[in-house]
Amino acid sequence: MMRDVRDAGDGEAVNEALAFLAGHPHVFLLTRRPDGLPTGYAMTARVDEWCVLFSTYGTSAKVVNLLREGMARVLVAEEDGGTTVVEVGGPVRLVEASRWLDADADADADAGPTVAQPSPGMGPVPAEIGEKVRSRHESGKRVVVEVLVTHARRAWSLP
Amino acid sequence: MGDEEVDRFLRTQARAVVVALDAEGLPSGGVGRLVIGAGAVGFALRAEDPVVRLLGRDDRACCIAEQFPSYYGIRGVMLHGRARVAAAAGSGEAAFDLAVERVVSYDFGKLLAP
Repeated sequence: MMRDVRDAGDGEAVNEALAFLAGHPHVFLLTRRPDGLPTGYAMTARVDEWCVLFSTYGTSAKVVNLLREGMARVLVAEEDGGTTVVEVGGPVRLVEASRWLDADADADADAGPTVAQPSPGMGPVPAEIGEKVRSRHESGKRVVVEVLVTHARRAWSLP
Repeated sequence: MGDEEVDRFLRTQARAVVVALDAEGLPSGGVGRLVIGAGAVGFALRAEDPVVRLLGRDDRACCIAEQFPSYYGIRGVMLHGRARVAAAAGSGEAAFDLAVERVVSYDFGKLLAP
């Protein structure tokens, strides 16, 4: 059971939140739209040191929104009836694609013909999708978004 | 998804991820229950969820329902709009109606269509 990190901002709380997120990579990436409305994108996340990484298309609305806002939050909820919900956040920037591709290579080595499993209940991402993602990173169509986590709190859920 | 697909999908969903804006204008979220009525949509949160207080200060909200049984089974709907406190709420809950201004949906199964 994770310690309650509600409204805490210390390194230990961030570490615990990131450990939870690493085990629950199906997350919601929260930002604002150009009209000011909040929004959340369902994404697969990877934890790298004090950062959360996302792979997405460089010209997508979410990248435009994230870079305009400069800050983002990530909400991750336990699945299958669990009620633990954690929110982390911090500044956003684009980073080298190798940060994502290196993690892919590690996942490939572990998983054989498939790549990362975004959710324990979902099963692995099909190999053809993993290949397409890799190819589009190499061509520059996809980018890697980094959220440097400076904030963590326990969020809430209805049972 | 088309309008009818969105409506049918939402009626199969129970969980709602709700995003509001905090005092700094940053998004902050919680997990609640989707509430579908006749021609209306809303959500319920735990009464003590800080998102409830945020919505009382700024009614701009995003409500997300999603399923992901497999990669090609991923489907979801994002509803953007204004949240208003609903008249009826369950014990220990705060309920909101959502005046929807914009709908975004996705269905990965359609990636398999010829």
